[in-house]
Amino acid sequence: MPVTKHTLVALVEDKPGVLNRMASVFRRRGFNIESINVLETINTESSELPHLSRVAIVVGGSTAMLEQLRKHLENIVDVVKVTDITTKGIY
Amino acid sequence: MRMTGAQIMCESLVEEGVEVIFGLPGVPLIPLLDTLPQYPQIRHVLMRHEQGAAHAADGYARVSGKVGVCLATSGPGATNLVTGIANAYLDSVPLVAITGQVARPFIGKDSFQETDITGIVSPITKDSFLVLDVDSLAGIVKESFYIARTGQPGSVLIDIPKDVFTDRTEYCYPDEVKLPGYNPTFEERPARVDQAAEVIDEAEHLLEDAVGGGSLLPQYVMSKIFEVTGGEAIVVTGVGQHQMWAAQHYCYDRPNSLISSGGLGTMGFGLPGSIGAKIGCPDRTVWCIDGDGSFQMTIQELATMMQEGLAVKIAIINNGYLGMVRQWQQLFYEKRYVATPLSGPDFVKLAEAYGIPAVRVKRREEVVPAVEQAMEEEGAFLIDFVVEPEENVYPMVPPGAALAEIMDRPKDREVAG
Repeated sequence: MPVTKHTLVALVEDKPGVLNRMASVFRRRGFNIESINVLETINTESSELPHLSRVAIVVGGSTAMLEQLRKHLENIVDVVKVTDITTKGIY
Repeated sequence: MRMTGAQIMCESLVEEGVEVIFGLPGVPLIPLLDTLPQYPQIRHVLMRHEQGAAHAADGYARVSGKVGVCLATSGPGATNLVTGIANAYLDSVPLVAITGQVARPFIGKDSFQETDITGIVSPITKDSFLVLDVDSLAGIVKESFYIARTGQPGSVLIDIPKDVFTDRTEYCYPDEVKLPGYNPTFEERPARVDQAAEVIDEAEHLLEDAVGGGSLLPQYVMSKIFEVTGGEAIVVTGVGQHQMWAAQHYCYDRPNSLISSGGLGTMGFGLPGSIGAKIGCPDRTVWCIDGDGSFQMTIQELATMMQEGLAVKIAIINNGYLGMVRQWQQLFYEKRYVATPLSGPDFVKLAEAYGIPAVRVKRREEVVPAVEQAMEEEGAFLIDFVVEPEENVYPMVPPGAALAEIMDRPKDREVAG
């Protein structure tokens, strides 16, 4: 399986501990995170909706392995959605 | 209504239908324990080790279908829960672990009896919460129980600092949870269960009959426990050879009747697990079938059985070895039995020390009378079955082999009738 750089973008709840749980998914399988960036999103629709953050992670691995990691990340209770944007671009 | 954190915790547990907590106290928990008597609908079962508390809550959850709850204090109390939390997580058992924590000003400073328990259990829980504000307590309890029991069930931990238990706020139990990232699947998949049942029905019958000569074979013991109990018992096992024999030679036709550590393979699950199972199903006969190695790992819970007056029947399959490892050493390491020969106490005398009547069985003809005696006894009973020391579990999957390469008993080792 060819190892390539992947960029995963996750929408997560803005709470303590979420980043730790996400990082552990990579750590326990021996993946090395090359870069990580977290930014609060701006919720213009309603103040009732929860605060969300967007996490962008660059990590090396095969496409199949990264797909497994993506699903594993989505299993975290506070993670809303994870997209592998490597080939898609953000928008 | 204004309440303390301790009261809010109890009110919330009542809202979640909690009837029993398996726990061990500690100073940070005193405010909570002090409030418990105001809630007589919640029974606190005092265990002798926190691992036992988690396993008991696990066994309770498996037989009752409810969320199991265990309670431990900060530091060593919390870390002692870890094995039990991992056990529930790997077998998808709904478990809420509540831990006391040092007061907020002391968190993160390596204070006395402080550990980062939410961090420690992060990979073995669906979610874990450190309650830093009494206002968030009721909501966190609601979320924890919801997460533990929905979707693929599992363990959740709530860590509560001592001073949060004594803080006061307005109490209102939330109606709903707000978890935008959590989408549990509620639909059942009966078709797949049917498919599995078909495969099992069509499978070749690989189990051997327990014949055996002069010596007492564990398979024979299992088949007789099955016969005498009429297959009506809940069987709770430890982990090892006895667990395999209990699965093979006791015929289960009622759901939630074989309670066993499948995913983590936790030796020592049997005794505390059977305590939880008996409390969850007091009207059913509960047999704890354990190995002499597994039993010695949580043997202190005999005191819990005694204190709670639980009529659990215990069968120790005593072969003087850590038998599963010994079997591998025999078959794949030329019988070099390193670190597997095992001494134990006189289990009959030990049981009697705990006020539990007990007998030792060495011969085939003694098996049925002993099991019958156990069933006639109103309370707990222990039987020490001294079995053939080097009996093996078959069929087995050899190391590194595929499931299709499953190994039957070698022909020249066939047990004579």
